[in-house]
Amino acid sequence: MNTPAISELFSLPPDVKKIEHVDDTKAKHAAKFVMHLEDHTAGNLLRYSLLRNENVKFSGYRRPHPLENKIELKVHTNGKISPKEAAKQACDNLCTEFIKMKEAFLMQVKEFKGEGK
Amino acid sequence: MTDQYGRGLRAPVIEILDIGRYTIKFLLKECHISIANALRRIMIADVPTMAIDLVYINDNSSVLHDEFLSHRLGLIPFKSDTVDSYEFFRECSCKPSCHKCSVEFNLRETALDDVKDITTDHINANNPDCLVKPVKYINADGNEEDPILIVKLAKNQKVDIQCIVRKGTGKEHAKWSPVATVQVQQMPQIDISPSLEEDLDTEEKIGLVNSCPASVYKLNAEKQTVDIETITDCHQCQECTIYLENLNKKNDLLKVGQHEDHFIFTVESTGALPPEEIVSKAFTILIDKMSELSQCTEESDAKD
Repeated sequence: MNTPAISELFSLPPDVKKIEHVDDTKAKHAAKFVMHLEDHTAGNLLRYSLLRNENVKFSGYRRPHPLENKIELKVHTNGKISPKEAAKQACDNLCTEFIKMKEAFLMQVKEFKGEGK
Repeated sequence: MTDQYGRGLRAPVIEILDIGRYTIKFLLKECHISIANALRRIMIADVPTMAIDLVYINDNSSVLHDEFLSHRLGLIPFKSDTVDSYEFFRECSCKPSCHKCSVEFNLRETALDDVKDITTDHINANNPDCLVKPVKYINADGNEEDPILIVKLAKNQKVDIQCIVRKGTGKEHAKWSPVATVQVQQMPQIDISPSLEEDLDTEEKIGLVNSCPASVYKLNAEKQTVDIETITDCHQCQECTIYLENLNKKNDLLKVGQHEDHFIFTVESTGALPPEEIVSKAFTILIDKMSELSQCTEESDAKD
């Protein structure tokens, strides 16, 4: 009855941006990023990656509603970098990490198969 | 912020334990649980494969009704090695369907004299050169297994079905998921105190070895020590610590726990993609996802 359309899982309405950046009105150096079409996969990854940054005082994410395909990521920094910079760094760090992991994995597979023959 | 998350970049280590025709087992070390979980979630829900998505039923006099039959057809795994050369149907510019986003199959069978089994062998591609086709399973001996049974027809019953196979992901429907299961297990960790050697006599040591239902321990008869034989079999049932407790020994002789950042992955493919391919595709998807998020964060404008 009120099942969301499957297309909502994959595409955004034309006037909506993938990531909305909302500055916190009550605290300095704090912001909320609303990430559309993302779920716990990216949310938990980014939260953890942000916490590894020494300039980040707080980071957490939530998925406001199970039928809405978006997450909210909150970031609070110490002022040396902006929350936006911190979030971008977190994404970039994860990206490099996954590239390394993929290379390592492919190499291991090659080695394993070489041994088998 | 506490230091429990560490600082800077990490370099997870991967070690392959086994690669089979349909399964892969590997270790992921020095890696936070969020990364292990992301990898698991991506493999289940985001690696694309091909599956029957649209079914036209021209004739069906079998005992199964149309919806039942369509559902069974949808769940058949299709060989998807060429999945990257296809477009997602919703992203393809064609009007109803085209060869870039869909593959057509047909299933036309009649039982003429006796009961007839309709299996995946009866699904024929309209284009015989097509590389996308129902999976044929090969068992451990290297022989082909029986094809998947779709429906049984009694005498004079008939099915005439046209199927459209499309690319999709497990996020939309589980039939597109390339894996049966992805198992992520935290690596067990057993610390045996050096004083155990002196504190227990031989009988007690044998009792300790036998107390483990997973046969993790082994008694080294020469040195009179208890060794760990197969740590991966340990399921932390604590039977060994309970045994030592009942002996009224000091309780720090043996400690059974788990590594926080050390995981054992077992990926079971449905046969649609080779298991190592699923993992490497999952990494590619994660890399793309992160670079897209990085780009979009950069472009997002602050507003109050």
